[in-house]
Amino acid sequence: MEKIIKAGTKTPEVVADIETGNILIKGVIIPENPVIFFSELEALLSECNKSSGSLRLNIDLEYFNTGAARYLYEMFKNLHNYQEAAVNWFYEPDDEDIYESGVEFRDLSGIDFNIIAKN
Amino acid sequence: MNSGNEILLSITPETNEDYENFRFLTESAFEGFPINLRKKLLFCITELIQNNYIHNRGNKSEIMVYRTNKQVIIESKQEVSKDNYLKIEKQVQQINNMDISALEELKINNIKESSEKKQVSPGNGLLTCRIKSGNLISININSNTNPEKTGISIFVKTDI
Repeated sequence: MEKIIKAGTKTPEVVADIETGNILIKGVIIPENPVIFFSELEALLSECNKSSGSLRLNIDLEYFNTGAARYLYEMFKNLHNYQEAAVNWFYEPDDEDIYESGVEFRDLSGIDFNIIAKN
Repeated sequence: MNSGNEILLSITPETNEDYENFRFLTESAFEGFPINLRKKLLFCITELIQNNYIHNRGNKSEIMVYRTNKQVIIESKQEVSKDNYLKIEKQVQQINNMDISALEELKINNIKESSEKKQVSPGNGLLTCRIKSGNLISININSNTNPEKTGISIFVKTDI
């Protein structure tokens, strides 16, 4: 079963496969107050994990604001509370900002974190 | 701004219509640039627009973007209180006095600290502009006639 958080003008689309625990987050994250979006996302992660026993986050971001960076950091840190969690962080080959952000979050989170160039 | 410069964008974030559409206006203004430059500009202009919207709402503001032969310049014009001006000026000086690796470290520390203290924003807006642009941030006083407010411009310059 799929659950979707629709993209807004300042938030990304989230598509979650509840049975497999595969989640895709795609777009921009630039809300003035990121609490609303990240609360909804955390609830979805928790539901996915309960159902599937594992989480695989596929993150394909265009850009994000500094407020969202703080909440992304917390989301990755919280993945340690799940039994099995991994992140695939996608970037365009020439996009050094998204690539470097992936490296920063990987180093900060200490979880299984793959940084993958898109074809 | 020199008369020969090409204006790429001019928006007034204090109006709801421009603020609600800023993502599409900025993405469209930077559409022709290589991805590496475009992303840097989008990271910076988003911070400047939202800084203004969140911390300086109700005061006059304008974001202009223009292109010279060598740089894309984002100018954030705003009216701020005298106290706010002094805070911004001090922050710009501190940021400009640090090298990029020290700023990267400060950015990470601010994220961790804001998470521990449960603050919504880590306060990394101008710092992000300095890191992404790779250049010093400039701040000018445009008008100082109002006893309570100061008209300023913050410039973020990114090399092409």
